[in-house]
Amino acid sequence: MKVKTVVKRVLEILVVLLGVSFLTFSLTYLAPGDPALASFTSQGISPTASEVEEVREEMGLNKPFIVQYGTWLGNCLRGDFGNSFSMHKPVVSVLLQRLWPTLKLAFFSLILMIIIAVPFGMVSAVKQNQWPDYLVRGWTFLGVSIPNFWFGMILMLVLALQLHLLPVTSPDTGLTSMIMPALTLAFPMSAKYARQVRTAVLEELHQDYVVGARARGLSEKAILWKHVFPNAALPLITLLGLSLGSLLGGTAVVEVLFSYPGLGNLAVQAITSYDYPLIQGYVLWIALIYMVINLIVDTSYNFFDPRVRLGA
Amino acid sequence: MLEFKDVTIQYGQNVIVRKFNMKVESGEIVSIVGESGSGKTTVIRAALGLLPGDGRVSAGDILLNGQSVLSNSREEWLKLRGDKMAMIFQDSGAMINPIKKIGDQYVEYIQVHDKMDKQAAYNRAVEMLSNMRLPDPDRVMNSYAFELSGGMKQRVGIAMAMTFNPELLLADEPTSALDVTTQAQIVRQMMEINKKYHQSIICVTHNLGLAAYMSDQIIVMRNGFIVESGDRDAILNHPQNLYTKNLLSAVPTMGGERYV
Ligand SMILES: Nc1ncnc2c1ncn2[C@@H]1O[C@H](COP(=O)(O)OP(=O)(O)OP(=O)(O)O)[C@@H](O)[C@H]1O
Ligand SMILES: [Mg+2]
Repeated sequence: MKVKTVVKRVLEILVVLLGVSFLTFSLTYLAPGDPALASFTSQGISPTASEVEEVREEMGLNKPFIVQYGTWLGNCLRGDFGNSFSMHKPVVSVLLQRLWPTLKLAFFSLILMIIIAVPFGMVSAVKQNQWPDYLVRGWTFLGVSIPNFWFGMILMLVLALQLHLLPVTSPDTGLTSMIMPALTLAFPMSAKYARQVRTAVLEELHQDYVVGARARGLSEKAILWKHVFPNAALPLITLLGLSLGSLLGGTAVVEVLFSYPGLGNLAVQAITSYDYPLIQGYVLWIALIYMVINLIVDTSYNFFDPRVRLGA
Repeated sequence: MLEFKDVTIQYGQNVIVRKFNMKVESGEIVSIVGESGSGKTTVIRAALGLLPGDGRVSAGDILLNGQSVLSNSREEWLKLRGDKMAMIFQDSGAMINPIKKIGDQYVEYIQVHDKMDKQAAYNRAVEMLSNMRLPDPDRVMNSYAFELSGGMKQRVGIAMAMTFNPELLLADEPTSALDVTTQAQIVRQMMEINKKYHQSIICVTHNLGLAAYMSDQIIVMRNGFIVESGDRDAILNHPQNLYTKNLLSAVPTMGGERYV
């Protein structure tokens, strides 16, 4: 991709971020619940009216909306997202602490997903309309229909409670703690991707270069893995970026289910305790990460496809 | 060496080629001529077991050295294709993987059939490409298909097909995308290899002049039927069929290399 387009994309990201920041700030501003009061109750104190008023003044909650937004945005730009009401720590350090576990979980799930989806998708395409294909299609149908928290509970029941292979919850980010949440995330995704792989591979198998390769006497295995798969994978790269983005933002249900110490779990905590600075910081971060990942993926797409890279 | 016996080919329910008969002896060059859509490509792709789409031989038999190829297993085809039988496609560029470099695919092809190391295979490929009068073969090896012109891609396809001096070369309008000089050069090379290695060639062409120049036998097709076939001289000098006569009269004068 040309430098110019990258610059354009970065500018786009900035504009979108500004919009997101405005939206999150207004939403939390309009949301019910008094953050000043909440800062007391979260510590188990019931304050007097004048104490609450004092804190409101201190937090700048009495100033006009636009002034509050301006102050907040200026601080954000300097890397200061304020202090978390409920944890009494800077939002940035709280987020940073939770970012790594979520990144780890997201990548682990993605890898698991690829390991499951690619072989199944390939088999399904190569054995089109034969029993392996029907089997895979049945499975993908199930996979996309089952809600992932339900699947997670089944995993918990079987792997942890019945077989005692894994811990029920995942208090840390070690491998054994990650297996169940990652499987829970990977399973429905792999069903979706197995279908995508199947479709993409089927389409590539009808291309002329496959006939050319057969005429040259290449084995079906070599044709499939060295020629068809790389071509079929190209359109899936963008999709993968989107999935990674939503994994980073949308793993909340699964993280809560397994008490996994990630960003999603943190976000849910922040919401239930009216922790506005934390919610705002979280939303901004996720938006930023999502867009940066998409930029990277789109750029890498250009890198992988020589026709785009060399400007055909 | 290759024989078609009453071969009928259909795509789905559409019968495209009917009762096609052809006998190619070893060392012989056979040309198939005929108008667009008459089934020429269909016939020679059937010989390699690579009919496009849902095409299939629904009746008759194709024999290679006396053995039917119709029931060949994948492994049996693997031994033949690209080695004993090779094909030059009408559109060679499309037959190459668009996202891999020509060189990688050429080297891969050579190494499938010959225990050569990478460097030796690369050198062999460059040598073949130079034979096709491709300027700067190293650049060609280092290019993707989309970076080459149609004629260059065609020559890559021809070079690949001729790499192993196949016993049977199936050529589908191999040179129609090329300029006259290059065309003449490549046809001459095909004929040289044919003499030297006693190779059989089936060549599909629109160009009756070319057919006259290179073939021993000519087959004239129309609408999936053979309208006339036989020795080159018989066809050229005493055409029986009106369609052949018309084809011939479209060529200004007969004989000689200048039609190539
Ligand atoms: N994949 C396919 N599916 C269905 N029909 C096909 C397919 N390929 C070719 N045909 C049909 O078969 C007939 C013969 O096609 P073929 O390509 O063999 O002609 P040709 O003689 O090689 O023509 P040309 O000189 O234009 O290359 C045409 O009517 C065409 O529509
Ligand atoms: Mg044709």
